[in-house]
Order: sequence, then C-alpha cells, then structure tokens
Amino acid sequence: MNPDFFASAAEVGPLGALPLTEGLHEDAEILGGDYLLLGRIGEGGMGEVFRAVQLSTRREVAVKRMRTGRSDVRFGKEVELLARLRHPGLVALIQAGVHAGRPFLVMELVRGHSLAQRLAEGPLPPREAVRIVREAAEAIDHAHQSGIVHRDLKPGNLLLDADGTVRVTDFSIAKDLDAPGAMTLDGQLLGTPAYMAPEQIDSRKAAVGPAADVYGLGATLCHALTGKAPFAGKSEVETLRAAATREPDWRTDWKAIHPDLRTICMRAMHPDPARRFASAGEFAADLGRFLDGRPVQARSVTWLERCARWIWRPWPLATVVALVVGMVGAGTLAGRMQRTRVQQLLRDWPKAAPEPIRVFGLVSSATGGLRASFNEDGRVFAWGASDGHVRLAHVESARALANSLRASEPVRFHQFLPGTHRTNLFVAADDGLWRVWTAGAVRRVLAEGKAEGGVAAFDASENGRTFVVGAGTGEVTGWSLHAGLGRPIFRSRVEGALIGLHWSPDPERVLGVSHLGDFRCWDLGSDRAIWSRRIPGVPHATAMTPDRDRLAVATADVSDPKRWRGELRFYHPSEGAELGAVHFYGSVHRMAFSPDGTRLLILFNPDRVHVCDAQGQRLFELIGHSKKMAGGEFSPDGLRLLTWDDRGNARLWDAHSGAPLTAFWSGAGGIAHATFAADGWRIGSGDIRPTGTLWDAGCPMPAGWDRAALTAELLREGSLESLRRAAWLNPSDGTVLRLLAKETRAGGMEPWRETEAVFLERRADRVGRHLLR
Amino acid sequence: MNAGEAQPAGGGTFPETSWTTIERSRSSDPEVAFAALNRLAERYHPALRTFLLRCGCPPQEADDVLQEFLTRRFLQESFLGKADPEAGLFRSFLRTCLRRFLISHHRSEARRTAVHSPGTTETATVAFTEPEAERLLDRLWAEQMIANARARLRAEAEAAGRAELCLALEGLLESEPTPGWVQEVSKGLGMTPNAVWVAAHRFRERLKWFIQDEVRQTVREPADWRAELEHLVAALRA
Repeated sequence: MNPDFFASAAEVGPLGALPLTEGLHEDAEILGGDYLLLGRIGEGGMGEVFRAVQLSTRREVAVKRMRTGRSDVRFGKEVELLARLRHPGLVALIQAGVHAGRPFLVMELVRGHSLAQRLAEGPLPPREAVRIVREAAEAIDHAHQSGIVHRDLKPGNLLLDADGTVRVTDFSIAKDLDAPGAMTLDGQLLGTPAYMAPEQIDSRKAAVGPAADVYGLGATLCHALTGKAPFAGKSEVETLRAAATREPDWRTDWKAIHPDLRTICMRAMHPDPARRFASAGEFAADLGRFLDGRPVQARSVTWLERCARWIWRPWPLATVVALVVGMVGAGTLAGRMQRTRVQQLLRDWPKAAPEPIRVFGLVSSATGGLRASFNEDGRVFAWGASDGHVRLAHVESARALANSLRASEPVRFHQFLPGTHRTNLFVAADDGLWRVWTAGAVRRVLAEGKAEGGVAAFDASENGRTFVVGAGTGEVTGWSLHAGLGRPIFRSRVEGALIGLHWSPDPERVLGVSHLGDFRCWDLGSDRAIWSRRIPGVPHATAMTPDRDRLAVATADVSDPKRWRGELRFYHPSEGAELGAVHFYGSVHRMAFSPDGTRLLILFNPDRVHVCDAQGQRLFELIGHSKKMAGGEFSPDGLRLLTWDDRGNARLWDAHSGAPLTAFWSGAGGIAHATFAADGWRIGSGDIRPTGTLWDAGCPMPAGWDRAALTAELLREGSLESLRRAAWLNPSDGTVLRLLAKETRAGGMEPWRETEAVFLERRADRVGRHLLR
Repeated sequence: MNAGEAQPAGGGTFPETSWTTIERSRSSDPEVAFAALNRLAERYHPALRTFLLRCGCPPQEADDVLQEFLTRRFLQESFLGKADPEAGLFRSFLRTCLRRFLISHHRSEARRTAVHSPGTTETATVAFTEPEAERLLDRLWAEQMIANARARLRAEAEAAGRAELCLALEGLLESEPTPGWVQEVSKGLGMTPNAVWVAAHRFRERLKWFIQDEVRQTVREPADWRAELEHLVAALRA
C-alpha cells in the first residue's frame, strides 16, 4: 500500500461520493472538468442531451452537447439568448462551455416527460391540454418581452415536471428580435414543419415575430386536443406543403371539441400573423377565460376572414419547394454581399486565435524555479529557486545576469518593488528570513528581517520606498528605504495569521486581514490601529483593486458543516465599511482583480476558476484545468487571463469571453509560477526543473491586421458612437485592441452582452477622448 | 471546496462509528446488543488476528486465543462498559485488553504445562513492548481499512456490472494512469480511452472516499477523522 495514496484520501473530490452505478458507461466523459455524463436522454438535429451530474455541486443537470461542425456563432447566440431568460416556465441555463471542440450547454434537469411523449398515448382531456398550453404561453410571453422568439414550439419542446408543471425548452433556433437577419440566412429549415407558421416557411409573407410562436402554441394545443399534429404528412416536404397550402380541417377533427377551443385555435393559427392573438400573453389569457368558464375573446371566423385565409394559402407545390431550396443559396449570398472587410473582421474576431505562444528564451539555473517576477519596466526577469537563489535575466536578450541573490532557504516569495527603484527586489525564504536587495549592477542588501511562521503577506507603497511584511504569527512590520538603507518604522499585529496586507488609498496607511477575521487599518506613523473591524466567517483570500478603491475578502461560512458555502465581501479601504456581499459555493484559493478593477478572477479549490464582475456576480467560468489550481492573473492590458495549475500546466484565456486562447507547458517539468511582464507581450515562468522561461505571449490581434490599419478601417466604417462601442482602444495611443461589440440591424454595433455594456460605459469617456484626438 | 469535509451522498453512506456500535452493544435489548457486538467483532477480527500472529502466536493458537478473547471478554457485559470514548481510540483499548489477555493466557498455559510436565517453568512472554505493539496494531489497522475499502469498491463495481473493469484497474489505482496504460486497457476491454480514463479516475476517487469513510467510522467526534488518518499514514510509513 502506498502511504501517499492513503494520505491523499484526506481530500476526496466530488466524484468520490458518486456511486459507481452511475456514469460508468462506454462513452463516459467529464465535460469542462465538472459535468459527468450519466446517460443520453435525448437526441436532435442540433446535438444530444445527457443527464449529468455537476461534480462541484453534486446536483443533477441536463447537458446538451452540440454536434461537431455546428456553427459557433449560433451556439454563442443560443447562450446569449438563454442567459437573458429567467422564468419558472422556461428551462434555465446554468452554464455554457466547449469541450473537445464541441460546445455544450448545461441546463436545469426537468424530471418528467415531454408533452409529445404524453400525446403518444392519445389526446389529453381538454382542460388538461388547455392548462398545459396556457402555462407554456405565459412562459413564452416572458421570452417575447425579453425580445426572443422561440420559433420551434411543439409538444416535444414542452416538458412536464413530475407534478405536471410545464417547462419550455430548446431555444436552439430562437431569434433575437433586436438583431434579426443574421441567424436566418444560413439556409437551414428552422422549425418543425407541422408546427411552423406560414411566415416561417416563406419569409416574403411577413417577418417572423412573436406571432409565429402564437401559431406554434396554437398548433400544439390543436395536437393536444385532437391527438394528432395539425398537418401530419408522410415527409417533411409533404407536411410543409400542407402547412403552406391548407388550413387544418376544422370540421372533421374537431367535432367532439368545445367550439370555444376551436375558435381559439383558429385564431392562434390564422395564416395572417396580424390576425392572430396580439401576444402569447393574450392567448394565455383567453385560455384562462375558457378554464374559468368565462366567454373567450377569440371570435368565430367570418366569411371575409375565410376569403383572406384563401389569399394567404394558395401555394403550388413547386413554389413551396423552390422557396425552401432557394433559402439556402439566397441567404448565403445575401449574407456575403452585405459583408465588408471590417464587418468580416468583426464577425470573425472572436474566433481569431492569437499567435501561438512560444518560448522566447530559456535561462537555466541549478534547481527549479518556484516563483517568477518582472521588474516594473519589464527589462529584468527574476525567478526564485528551491536552492535558495533568486536568479536574474535580461529580458530582451534572454540572458542570465551574473551573480544570483542568495536566500537562506528555498525562495517562497519575491517581488520587485515599484517606483523609481526598479531593481529593488524583496525576497522571502521558507524559514521566514527576508531581504530587500538592490539587484542592479551592484548587489547589496538594503534591509533584512525575519517573519516568524514565514512571510504570509507583503505589499509595497506605489513609490516603492515603504513596504510592509506580514508574518504567519500575525505580526506586521513596516519598513522604509531611504538613502539606500532600510529601517523599521512600524510594528503591530493582528489576531490570527495574516492572509492579506494591502496599501490603503492613503499612502500612509496599511490594511491587514487575518484568518480569524481581524481586519485593521494602521497609520504607519504609529503602531496603533486607526480602526478595526470583524469580518464574519473565516477569510481565505483577499484582493485589492489596482486603484485601491475596493477590497475583496473571500470567507468560508463556519456554520456550514460542509464548508461549501462562502461569501465574497467587499470593503471600502478607507473606512472599512462593507460595500456588499455575495454568496458562493466553494472554497476560494486565490483572487486577483483586473487592471481596471472591473473584474475579479477567483480560483476555487481545487480546479474551478470564475471571472466575476466588480460586485462578485459570476460572468463566466474558465473551463479547461483539471488539476488543482495554483495561480492566475490578468494581463496588464486586461485582455487576457493567465492561469496555471499545480501540475505545471498554464493556460491563456480571453478575459472578456472566457474562451481559451492557448495552453502551454514548459518542457522543463512544468510551470511552478508565471506572470506577465508590464507590457503584456512577455510571460515569465519559474519552472519545476532548473529553468526560468520567457514566453512570447503574442497579441490578441487577428493575423493580417496591424493596429493602425484596423483603426483606419474602423474610422472609415462608422460613426464615433458605433466605434466607441465597437472597439476598446488602448488608452495610451488610441489604437484598437479589442472588439467588444456586434453588428445591429442598422449597421451599427452593440455590445455582446449587458455586462459588456456596463464595462463599456465605464470605458466610453476615455476611449472617446482618444478617438477625438 | 474541501470535499473531504463534505457530507457523503449517493451510494456510500457513513454507517455508525465503532463508538456508536459500542453504545448499542450496551443496549438493554439483548438482540440489539448482540448484533452490535457481532459487528464490532467482525470489524476488528482480521487486525486482531494478524496482531496475535505478529506477536508470535502460531496460527492455531492465535485463532484459539482470539476466539477465547471474543467470547470470554468481548461478549462479557462489563467489558465494553470499561471502554471510555474520552480515553482515546477504541483500537488502543482493544490492544491493551488483548495484550493483557494474551499474557494471562500464556501464564495459565505455562501453569498448566508445569502441572503436566514438572520442570518446565518458563513463562511465555509477548514478543513486543507496548509502543511497538501500538505501532504494529496501527499499521495492521490501516491495512485493514484499506482492505475493507477495496472490498467495498469491488462490491460496488460488481453491482454496477463492472467487475472486470474493476479487476483491470484495481492494481493501478494508486497512481495516475499513463496514456500507454489507458490505451492498453481500453483495447483489452473494448472501451474508449476516454472512458477508461474516466473510470480509473472514478475508481480512484471512490476508493479514497471509502478509505475516508472507514476512518470516519472509527472516531467518535466527526472532526477527529483527519487526525486519525494522519496517524495511520504515519503508522504505514513507519
């Protein structure tokens, strides 16, 4: 028996609690490192649906995995639409991601069956049928109010819970009313023929809008009442033909059905969309009146209406077939004709991968590097090693500088001090001994001390002349560097072990947080705390925004015996006032704010990584790491995210979408720690084997475009307003760095998501100023 | 998330701990008490037997001594009444009792031999000192728990119709599967490499979970299981 394996039983992943009777089939897979597929529960044109278990929460979910080759754009569209919908009658989206090149959606699992399965046994009692369709209509009305048309309402897409509650699912071909056009031009037959409104078959009749869903609901009610689809035919084309040329036979199939229901169905399925119920809500209301025994508002069909219906319906078969076939070519052609160079670029940008990351330089050392850092101007790279040496390299030439800095023990932490002293390096060893070296041409120790229990936290003032060191025992010491000599200026302590030290917005003040929730602010001029607060729970990690206006503290809830629940609390660094708190599940390992402070990277134990907004609301999850996370940070330009796990695998992500950009692994035994240089073009890593590696991090710019050309094209293409939205400009030189928008119907741009809109609002002024120059 | 602290769910449940069983054994209902004693005896029997063998008892004698210990002492009403949860591990209590029982058994054996064979006065002694015996039993106990965990894994795999897969994976659960090995097993079992990888991962995590569960069963306070696990790891490393 391997004692190490026995010892590892102290930490069991969520999979351990799952009995082997579940999820051990031939095509067993874990998607995104968190969703174990248990078995297939459905299949459709777009992909397969699996029952799955989310390992991190142990809840059962439904995972819809798209087929290979499915349009990424449509997948992105579906995710975007679903994210906007929140209604008890709609199946909620939990998460979206990509696994092995195949996109997947994680949805709420509805335990029950579809209306189609129920109807296979025969028609429903009228009141039951009306109740089901009414509930679905109310949910769809909510979608319409959110600007979304489902376009594929049919019994198969209405799920019935165990208690009979209706849930509408499958928004895979839904249409965004605010951005029509783009998703209908790929020539696919969008919808199920028997339930498709005439305008879905021939777009020349009318634009597809909420009325098409009213038609689908009417057709579903028709099916539920009669036991068969309104235009059931032998093949899709025949059904399509029937749907386009005829009305349901309201006489033969409806003899036994209540006349009011027939009237409601006829109005819902009127060939002219303008004559149907004005909304799904109105349709639901009329069904409600029927259930309550009140008079319905749908009127019987008049002679004039019969004439109008005839005008709407007479389509010869050849015309119908030609229309269906023509959609393929015409749609694609129309799309192509519309695209200009910039539009093409904007369309393709999210898919454009940056240049693959490559090794820029390798610098060898006697033992493995445990930590990497760059100095402020990015010219010097340092990596600390387990032999107690910190080695330095010149970045541009990737050549090691002579004379390493020697610590007493393996290097636990090192960091260049900011400000004018760009080569002053703070180095802390495992035994708690720390030193500040001047690492320029002349190497000498400026200050040294010992932190009992090891250095647990460190921060330096913006000018690099003052720094504070926190010890594992809770002791905090402040030091000043003047005239090439360090001297202690402050000493205090917190209750418990320090987990975070941060400079306050006031350059004379420092904040400390301990694992016992002791949160203090000290004035460096005196050893006494100016104020102290008690943070509820057990703090695990802290992060301060770069402009020092918000301190985030992740805590574990001690009252939760499972220790799964925690809170993310935000504090004002000046007064310690709480700004807000959000709950989360999981144990936070590390956090980092983006350079502009609008986003927060959270690493959970063991391998979950979330990106949240400044209020702690999750924006998306980074899916790809499967080992315990070791660290992560935003690039200095805020466009990319760098993460690495404890097995030495590093990944680079798009910081605005969470899309993986590239993964890299140092040939030297993997990466122990990595960091961006200040310009964002270099990454330095301390490797497990004896090297420090400098990587060329590339630029998130599609091939063939340089910054100047792209700016010029965009300036030519649109108004200042659309450009503001279209691109995020580099504040320093006004060049375009990143697409943050999509086209609108009017040819302008709009943000990808609401969260992006908020982000852009904050950016708009700065960006605008640069454009106007 | 610290999965180790999480309450178990699914197929594995945390059965009562040894101390809970001991409390049940003191029940006024003789059936409940006897069933509880039986469970305790079954749980500790293998480790105690090996302990006796390592103490120098021949197998036949070890079986006899253990049988006598279990029937004469273990099932004695007052015996388990002396076990005090506050005083430490039940395992330590058993070890001390068994050692004393063994010494007294050897003494009575010696007296009996002396009666039948005058001139033989040597008294059998136990081979180990108290600390050595403690380390030995701890190690045996750790091995016992691993064996129990493996047995539970096998049983669950069989119930899931995956006995063959369990057999193929079992020997290699203590390390990360290599791509070559995954390829080989997938060919042998007609599964995709991905499915084999997932299965190996599942089996390993499940085995760890069963080990944790076994350890949890032996402590009175739920929070103590980590310390007990560390103690047993140290015993395995010794």
